Amino acid sequence: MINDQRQFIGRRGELLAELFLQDLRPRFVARADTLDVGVDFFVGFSNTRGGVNLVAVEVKATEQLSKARIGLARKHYTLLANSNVPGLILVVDVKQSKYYFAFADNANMLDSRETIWVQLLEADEDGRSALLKQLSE
Amino acid sequence: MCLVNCAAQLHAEAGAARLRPGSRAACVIASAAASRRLQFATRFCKRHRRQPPRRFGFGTRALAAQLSVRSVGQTNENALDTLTCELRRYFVLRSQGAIALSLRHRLTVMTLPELRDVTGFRGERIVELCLTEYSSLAAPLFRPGFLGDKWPAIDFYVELTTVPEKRLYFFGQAKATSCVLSDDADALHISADRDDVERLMEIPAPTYILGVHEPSKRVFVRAVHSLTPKKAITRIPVAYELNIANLVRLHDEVRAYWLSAASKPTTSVFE
Repeated sequence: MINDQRQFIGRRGELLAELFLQDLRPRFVARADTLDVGVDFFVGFSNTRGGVNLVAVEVKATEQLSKARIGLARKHYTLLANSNVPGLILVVDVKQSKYYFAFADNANMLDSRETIWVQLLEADEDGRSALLKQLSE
Repeated sequence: MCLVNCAAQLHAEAGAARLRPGSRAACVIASAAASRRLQFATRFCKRHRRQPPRRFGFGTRALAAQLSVRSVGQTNENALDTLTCELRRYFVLRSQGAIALSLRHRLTVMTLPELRDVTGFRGERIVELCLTEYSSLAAPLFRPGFLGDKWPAIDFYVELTTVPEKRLYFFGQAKATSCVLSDDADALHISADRDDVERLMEIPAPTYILGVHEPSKRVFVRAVHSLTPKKAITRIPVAYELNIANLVRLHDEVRAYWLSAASKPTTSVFE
């Protein structure tokens, strides 16, 4: 039953995330179908210079998010924060169909604990615009 | 707080069926015989036939990770090809470096040059999300399973999650459209032809057509039962939108049907 619930949350989160990313009008959404890629999506956005900004997206799904924060394993966070493409952490509240996001940043790595807590922004109307602007610069 | 990492292993066959590569090739092979049940009306209300899968990148196993590239905006094919090459090169370099990637993975590329092609993929996802909507419920009422592009007549097998010790179900066929649906429209216009309806009527279980208005992500439902006229269904009243109230009504209707009928044989020659 717990596995069912986890699968359900995961599946719904994944669908919501993909639609969310598509709604940002990217140039493409590439799903990373194997575990060893380390992230869930690569998304490309046209930038103002005529090129493409690539971003690696890690999706986390949850039924309840407390204080708009999320904890990530240090190893995973390190991968996102130190890759040659920006790492976007996209958190989906699957019950309320709400989205939160943060970019993986080395500044958070100062925390020495195994779990790194990331403060998220809600991707409401304003948050979405800010995110899109950041992705297309 | 329950957190689930949405990694690839969770989408199983539904994702695999939709993400199979080949849409780009399908544009070339116009004579492909496989029928496309999800006949998604475009903004021009044109119909598109479902195309067979075709593997890209076969024989290029050394090309590292498996990706499905899906264009969702205005596409410059050359630019996308260039990007794809760059991605391949990147992963090849990466595979030669510190992070070794398995050789069994391949780079699969799927581009959909027109937004209308995306309508179908999005439509399937929108149906699944709609059926599992539970923002004002304690738990989702349904568990949908996508049957894949090739399964005749139906797209979704949908189980009810609320009946103890029973796995009651119905079947759904999705019809997505991006045609205009104005605020004062009384119906969503879809294109379920007579064959679609007849095939649904052959299934001895509750069957529904799920009309998807892709731009607004709204889903509408219409039953196909034994007294439904054998003719095309071209509209679904907006009153049948799958909001929470109608999800509950749909759930109760399917539940009542199965609880009033024997759902399991009582004998068998193989017992």
